[in-house]
Amino acid sequence: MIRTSKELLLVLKTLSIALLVAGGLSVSDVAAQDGEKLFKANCGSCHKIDRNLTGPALKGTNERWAGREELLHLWIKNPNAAIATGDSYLRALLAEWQPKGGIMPAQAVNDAEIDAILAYIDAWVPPAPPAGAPADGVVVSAPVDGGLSTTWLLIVLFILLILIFSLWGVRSSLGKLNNAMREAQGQEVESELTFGERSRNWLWQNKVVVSITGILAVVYMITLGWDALLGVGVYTGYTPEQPIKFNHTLHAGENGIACVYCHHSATKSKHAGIPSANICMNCHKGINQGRSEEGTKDIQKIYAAVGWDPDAMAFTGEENPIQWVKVHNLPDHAYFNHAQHYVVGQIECQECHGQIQAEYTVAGQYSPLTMGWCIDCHNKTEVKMEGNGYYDEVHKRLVDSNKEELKKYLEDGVITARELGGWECAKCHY
Amino acid sequence: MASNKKYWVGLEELHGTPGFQEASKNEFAPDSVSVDEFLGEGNLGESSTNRRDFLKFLGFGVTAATIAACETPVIKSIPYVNKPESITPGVPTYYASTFFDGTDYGSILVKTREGRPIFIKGNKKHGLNKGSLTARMNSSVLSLYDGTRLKAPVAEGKETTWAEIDKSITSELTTVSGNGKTIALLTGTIISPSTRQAINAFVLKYGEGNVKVIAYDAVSAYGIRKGNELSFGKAMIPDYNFAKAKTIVSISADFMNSWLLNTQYLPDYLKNRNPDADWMSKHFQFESTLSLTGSNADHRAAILPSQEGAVALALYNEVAKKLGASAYNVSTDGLPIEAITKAAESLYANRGAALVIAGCNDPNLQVVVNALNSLLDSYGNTISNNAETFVKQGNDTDVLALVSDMNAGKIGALIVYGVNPAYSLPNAEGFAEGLAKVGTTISFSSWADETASRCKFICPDNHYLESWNDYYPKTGHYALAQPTIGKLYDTRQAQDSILTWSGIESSYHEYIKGVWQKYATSMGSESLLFDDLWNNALRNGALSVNESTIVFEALINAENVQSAASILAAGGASSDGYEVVLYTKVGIGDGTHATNPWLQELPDPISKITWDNYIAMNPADAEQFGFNLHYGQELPASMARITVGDKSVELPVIAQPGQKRGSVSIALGYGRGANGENIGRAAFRTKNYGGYELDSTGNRIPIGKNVYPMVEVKDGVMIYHNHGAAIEAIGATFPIAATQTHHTLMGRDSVLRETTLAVFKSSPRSVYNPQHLLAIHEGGEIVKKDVNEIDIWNAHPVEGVGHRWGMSIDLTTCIGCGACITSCHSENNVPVVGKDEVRRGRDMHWLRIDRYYSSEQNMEKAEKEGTGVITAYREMEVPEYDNPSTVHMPMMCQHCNHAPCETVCPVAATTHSNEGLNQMTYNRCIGTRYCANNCPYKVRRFNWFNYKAYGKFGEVNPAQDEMARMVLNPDVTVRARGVMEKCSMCVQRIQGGKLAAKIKGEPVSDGNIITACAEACPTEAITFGDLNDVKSKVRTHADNDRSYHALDEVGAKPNVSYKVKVRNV
Repeated sequence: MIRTSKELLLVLKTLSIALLVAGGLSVSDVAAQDGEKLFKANCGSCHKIDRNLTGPALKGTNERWAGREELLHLWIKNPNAAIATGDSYLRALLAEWQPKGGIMPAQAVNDAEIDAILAYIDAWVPPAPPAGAPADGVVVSAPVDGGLSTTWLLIVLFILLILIFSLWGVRSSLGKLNNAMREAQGQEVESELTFGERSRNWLWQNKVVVSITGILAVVYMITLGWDALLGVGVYTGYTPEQPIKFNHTLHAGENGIACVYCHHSATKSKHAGIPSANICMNCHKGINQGRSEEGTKDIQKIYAAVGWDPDAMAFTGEENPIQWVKVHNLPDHAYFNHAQHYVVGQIECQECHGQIQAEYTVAGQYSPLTMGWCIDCHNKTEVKMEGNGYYDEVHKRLVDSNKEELKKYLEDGVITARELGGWECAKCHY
Repeated sequence: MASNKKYWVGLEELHGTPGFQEASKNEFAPDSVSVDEFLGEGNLGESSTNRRDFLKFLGFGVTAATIAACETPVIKSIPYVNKPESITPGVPTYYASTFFDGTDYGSILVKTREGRPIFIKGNKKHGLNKGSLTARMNSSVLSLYDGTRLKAPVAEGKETTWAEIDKSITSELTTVSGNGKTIALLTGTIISPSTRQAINAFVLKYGEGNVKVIAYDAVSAYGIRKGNELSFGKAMIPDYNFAKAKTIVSISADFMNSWLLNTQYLPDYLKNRNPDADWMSKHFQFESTLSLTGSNADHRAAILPSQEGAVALALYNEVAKKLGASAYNVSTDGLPIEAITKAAESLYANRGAALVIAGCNDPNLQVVVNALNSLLDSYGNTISNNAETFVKQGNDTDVLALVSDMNAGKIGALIVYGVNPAYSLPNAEGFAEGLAKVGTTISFSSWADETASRCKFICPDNHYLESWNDYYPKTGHYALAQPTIGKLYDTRQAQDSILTWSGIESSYHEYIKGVWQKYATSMGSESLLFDDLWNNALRNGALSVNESTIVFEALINAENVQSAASILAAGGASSDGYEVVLYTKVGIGDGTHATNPWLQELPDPISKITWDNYIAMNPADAEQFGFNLHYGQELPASMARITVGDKSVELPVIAQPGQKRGSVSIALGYGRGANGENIGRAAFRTKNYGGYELDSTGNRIPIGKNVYPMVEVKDGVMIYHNHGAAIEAIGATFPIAATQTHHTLMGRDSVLRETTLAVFKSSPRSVYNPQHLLAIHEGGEIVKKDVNEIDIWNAHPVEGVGHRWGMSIDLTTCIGCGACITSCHSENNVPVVGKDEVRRGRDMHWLRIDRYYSSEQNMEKAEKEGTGVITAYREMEVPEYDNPSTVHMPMMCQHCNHAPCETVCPVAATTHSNEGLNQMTYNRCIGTRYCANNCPYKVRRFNWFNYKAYGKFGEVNPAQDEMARMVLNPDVTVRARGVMEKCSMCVQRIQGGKLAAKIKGEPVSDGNIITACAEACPTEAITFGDLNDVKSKVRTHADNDRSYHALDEVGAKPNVSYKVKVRNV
């Protein structure tokens, strides 16, 4: 699926470039394919072609400025000089836009480049919504696992049951037939044994097999029960429905945004923190379209939360915090600190949270978060002492001491978290 | 030498009562409650549930619980929309602020988590209190979350809006001023310059002739101001400099607890209580009740309140004799001559570095004390004459005049701010009657208390943690208070109300800034720099300015001394009846904090009684009445009726050693909410199984009785003692919850060590702090060996490796004030259990302060005096009813490296960490309580109940209140029923501190990790740190010659060490 959508994108890109090349050649000597590059480099942070951002939408610029191209060029290169001309259209433009974004700064572009940009704007067509498949190149796995096999299992079971019943029927008919024959032959009729009696007889005759099977069954049941009990309170894979289907794969994976850009309190607090909505707005003030309709809707939800009016490009002051559902729930008596593990222990987020940037979109619980899981890691993990003055001091004291029992810690040359007390109760429980 | 002295925690131990001996053997008090009573208060038989039903319920319950447990809980997590820059969830933020409630003043730091204030500590870097605070101050964070505070303005008993109440009030005030009637503004002491300015604006708005501003203190120091007026012609209180005083003589001034600027005096005083320094101050105390200050004095003499004047005169005469000055006539009959002579000698020897203070409000006494100070050259040395103290500005005469004006109908409007006169005035009834005759009455109280509930309008003030304010406690020192949380309810700061009614629109915050800017400009600061000045002051919380002025000329008016002396000499003790001392307790103070459960459960430093008010009486006197001398779970106190004039109250009598015979003491501040006022949850008596005790009218019964009506008013001054009291037994008894005999150490007196300065200075360590030697068999011979060399266990590898957390407690500087107990309460979510449970010995304090009495006689003294050994021992056991010497000893988990508790735990729930901590793992504990039985220090506490949910604790435990729950420290587990708990040495702080160091990449620096108790200690008696850090303070203390381990002979090898108490006798 990824492949197909990537191919589709490639085709689209090639197509649009070809189109641009065709349009650009006719305008000037600056290659028109540079138009897009120039637009993105110089204009893109404040302007979009089809809609308003900090500055107005640029579609139709050529028509609007028809007959005043020179002024347009001046306006782009030296806005103050252009304003000084006192042009009425420009004044109206300023009256509308200056309060929202100020006066456009002078752009370091020459006339040829301006023409290229204008040509690019003119030739721009909105990208066609990709047909069918989700456009963002993300695997949306349907929750089909389990369903199919269960159905098959049921069918097989049903068939087996029918078989057993029919065999039973055949058997009893045979018995009856036998008796009828005996009766007909004048022989003594075999007394009919009940099912219970017959089972007991069979069991009695196969004592060894029965007892071995019995013991095995009991052991199996106990194992099952034990496993089930161990699973109580373990919520690996818990992926609750969230008010916004935040796409980690897109943000952290494709766009390469560092985890701690949003979860910044992981660097100083015990909580990694659910990012406050104002962090979303750092980017989404500009990016108001998702790659899918759903994505756009979700972005609208951010706006609703922070009270942002994307049309007026202003905050309304009406705030509605997003109510996320907590994924990782540690019991109250266990203390965990992100800063200790991420900053001091230099453990990658992925070690506990999985390849969230690549393998799954909406956050779910990756690790079991059981005590066994914690201490297992504490047992194996080497303490990252290098370059940390705190450990230099502690380590020095350890080395300086001539205690026999401590030498064993130093023997293998590896100091694990456990050896520094990572298995002690009051490291996590207080 | 310590081991030769006889120590006793209470008369129970001294007399060896069977109950005490039984109790000292058992770790847990035997439960005298029958199962029936416990389960259903006797109604169990009426239940229709039979055994089969019970089994059905049980089965269903188990199944339901199992199924419920399998479901994934859905927990919402709601982040900020716009996260404030200063807040990171999970990381505390501190704000500098200031506390002032009329009794205590101090610069504080408020710890907030996710925007909620949860802990208060002293500001060690800025402010005149140098980080010291009282239990009342650090407990005040709990009152912020009091759910019984008014949640909106109230007009004539109905909730209303601010706009409406402002309209009614301004129109009524305008009418009153138009009619030529007086608007009276009755306030507590105001030391805020901006508030004063706002009040001035108010005065101007309604006409200077119409508005009267009167300052009133529930416990006033008006007599001191008046005395200074008589001596120096100016009514003021000078700035006392305890740091310079080599000899301090206090005549019933409780300056360690509540006297004037106590938080400034305490650190100054303690600076000179270091026996290792070149000199150590000498402290004499003459008083009737055994006060916190008296219990820490080097010499204490018990006197009657009526003898205070004679003592002052006798001291004056002794000093005058040495200086060749003229003396005054006074009879010295019945005075403690020996102590007076000693004190006078010491004062004379330290002229220029001596300080005499008196707590009594009698201006004549103050005049004589001033004359004595002048004789001793104290002015300009220990008493500053270019700085004055602005606390306690209450003018008793004006207040009393106001009451008569109100009754005469002269007052048109009364605004009450920060005081509760309908409760705390001696003639509160007269005030209440007068109040009814005032047309417009306005209160700023946060509760509909005794005064506010009688007022027409209540405009609830913000809690101080929600408010802006500035302070000017003494010359040259300014401080700011800032909000640490948004308003919890629809309240408004009183100053904002005053500004609104004065027609000023700016907020009080802006107003303070304006006032400061004007002041800064007048001091020559450039306006451009003002923002820096303001931001710095706000960040630091306090600001010192050089304001050198001569406050008064230290020239004594000799004529007034003469007349004062003759009045004092003439007015002796009235012979009939008891004299009554009315004092303020460490916990409850003047009654402002009566609803704070932390303070109610804080044992009194001396009597160790919680949740009650009582008559303290000398045991000899009590014996004569036939009152009970011993108190315990099943040993109640006897009730007595005490009558002074026409006022009488019934209270339990407590036999208090050290109380002067012929006098009794009763604490002020109790009996709040006697008419059913809704002043808070914890101020009322509760039933054994939850719910309030109600009187015949259905009102809740307050804890203790209000004895403010017994305050004597003499010449327009309130005197906090009285005489001619009749006491009669009324035959009833009353249960008492005293912790003094809980958790006793089975007679192991070696827990304490004390010596005198002379011995300490002249003798080697082996004399005052000997190593404990144990006789053992070795090679067929008996040899004496240091206990530390004898070991049956392998040593824990903590010494020299990694961290080894330890604590050192200096018994010389510990004064027993209890600030550490409330601090620990606040930090570690220690449950409040209420009176009934405390009585059963189930108090949950992780940290307790053992108070030991001892007799003056010891073996050394006996040897010197040639007393025989047998006589000496008998004398040591003679009840020192009149003047026992006292030691305060904080006791918490000693974090033994050979912890006896660890070896007996069947489930390894208590273990040792490689950093020397004795760890308690709640979720592993199954509640066998073996550990507590095996602890020689008796510091383990068992959760008998689910305190956070069980109905019995609904009225007392803050965790059961939806609002008050917000004060819980989110870093510390709230323990469940059935598990042990104990001091963890604030392991959450240790972990947090280590993490901070690791993130910075630096070693932990000494002082960065500190326990809540050490942080709260106003005298720095508790030091905490890493014993493996050779340069740390705690290591220095532990290596000191005075350092010893409590109960060294049991060989538990604690990480907590104590330093021998040294008395400068």
